Amino acid sequence: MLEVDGLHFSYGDFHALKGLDLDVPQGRIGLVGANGAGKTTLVRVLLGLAPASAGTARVLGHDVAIEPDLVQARVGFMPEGNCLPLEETAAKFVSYAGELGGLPPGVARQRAADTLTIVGLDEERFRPIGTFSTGMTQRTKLAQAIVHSPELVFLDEPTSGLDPNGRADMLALIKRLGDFGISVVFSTHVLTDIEATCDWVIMMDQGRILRSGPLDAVQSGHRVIAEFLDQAEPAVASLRAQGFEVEVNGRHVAIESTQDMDGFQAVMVAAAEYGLGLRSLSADRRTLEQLFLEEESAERGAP
Amino acid sequence: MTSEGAVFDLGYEQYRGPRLSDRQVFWRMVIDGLKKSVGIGKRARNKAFPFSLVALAILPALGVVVIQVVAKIFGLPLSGDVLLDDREYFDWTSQLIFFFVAVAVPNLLIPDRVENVLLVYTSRPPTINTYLVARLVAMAISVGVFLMIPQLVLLIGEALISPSFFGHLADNLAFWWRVPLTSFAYLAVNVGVAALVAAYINNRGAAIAIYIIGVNVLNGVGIGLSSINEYFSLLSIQFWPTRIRDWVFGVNTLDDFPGADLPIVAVLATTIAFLTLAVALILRRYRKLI
Repeated sequence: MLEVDGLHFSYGDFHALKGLDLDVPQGRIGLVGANGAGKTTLVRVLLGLAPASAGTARVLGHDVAIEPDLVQARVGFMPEGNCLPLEETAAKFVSYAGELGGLPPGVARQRAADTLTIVGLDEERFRPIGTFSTGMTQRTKLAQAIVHSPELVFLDEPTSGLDPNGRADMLALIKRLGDFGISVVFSTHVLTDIEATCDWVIMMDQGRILRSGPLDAVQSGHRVIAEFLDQAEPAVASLRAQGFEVEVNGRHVAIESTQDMDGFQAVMVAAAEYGLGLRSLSADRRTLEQLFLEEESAERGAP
Repeated sequence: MTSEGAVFDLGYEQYRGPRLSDRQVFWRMVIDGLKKSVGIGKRARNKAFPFSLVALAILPALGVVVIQVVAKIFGLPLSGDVLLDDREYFDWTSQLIFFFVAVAVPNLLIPDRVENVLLVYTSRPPTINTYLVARLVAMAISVGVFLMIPQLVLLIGEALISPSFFGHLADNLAFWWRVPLTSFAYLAVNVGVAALVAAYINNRGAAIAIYIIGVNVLNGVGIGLSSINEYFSLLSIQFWPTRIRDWVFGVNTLDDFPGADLPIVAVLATTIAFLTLAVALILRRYRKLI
């Protein structure tokens, strides 16, 4: 769905994107990073709104630099800040947004009504947008992004400014987009929102990609946690002798798998060899926040 | 089984039907601009001003026609001096479109930019250039209609009371190039100035004030300095379309104006240079936004 190769983007002397490479499948994609990481810039480049300084980006099979109109015809965009005309009604604006996305006027009116209902705006749709609460505004922004039936929608900080209930509603809507056959790129700095909604994560920091992969794989990493019924020393010695990095905390042992050696398999073999019982054996799932901080520290060379 | 009265979420369905072409989308943008320029779809107070101006533009033309009809019926003599012809009628409508443009152009351009709606538009296939051209075409149509309708009322009214309706139209074929060309001059200059102001000012009230005060100040400065050199009269922006109108109609109604004898080439060159600069500055402003 997204293929990015050596992508650079600069604002004058400031390098906002520094040689990004990505290959991302369809689905719900979380784009996470601190403020200023380059998330919004990447989204703008992928939408064809900002020309890359170098490298290529393909969205849904089209090069955004060569065929931006073909990309824009198939995607939707929910910007982070205000992007709605305050004097117009939600019904009218979403319908007009549908027409700009290529829907015939009658179809646009009908789909605007349907889409606003789906995002939770019923009678309010006939009120001027300037009278809306933050939650209603965010719902209207989402409606205009999907009214024209895009295959992919970019959501830039869609939960920004929402109270807990509004946030939960918005996350539920984002999860539903996948059921509607719409892929999502969900840009946020709130890592728990990504964990709640996405199946793929792209981590960014200072214009670089820290990590990109399926959420489960990224979170589980290569670390295996084992809890032995007895003292684990013989098994630990055996694992270390095989070259594994092992941390011991009583009967709890953490083993770092490598590309060549599977920690799961090695623990089971060692336990069998020394006749040790295992209470549990699992992948060490870290939260995105832990993972992000680790990756960020490593990238910046911090201790 | 579900209980009676349950509300069903019908869900979202992908649209797989035909879509509008780029040209059709462009015209949807033009129609949107036309509605906004005259306040259609907005509160009544938004419509009051533009529609009042339209009425003020058309009613005198209708009045002229009615006077001619009554005079003809009762066989009353009419002096040509009391009736406005098509050239003279521009003196009236040009004042009205000055105020119409002063309000309509900021309404068309400023909210979309200040409220960041452009980001929604340009994330879809239309580009920022498409948006600007659509806005320009919308203004051209609304101002063009504003200027042309009273002229058509005059022409058709005169034709109706003439001995031969079609004979009158045939005698006035020049109408069909003089009036549109003059209308275009008034349209281009007024919309060019107003759009340039609206492109750089983020407050609608301020943009309206700057346009009205700025044009009048420049008129005064141009007239004042023209005693030193008549080319200073080119600072008077409203002089340009009026001088072009006189050239188109082959008359000189600006005898008292110091720049009346300036070669038309100088006026046309100034107008074209200004419009080119205005377009470049507007594009520069909008490309920086996206």
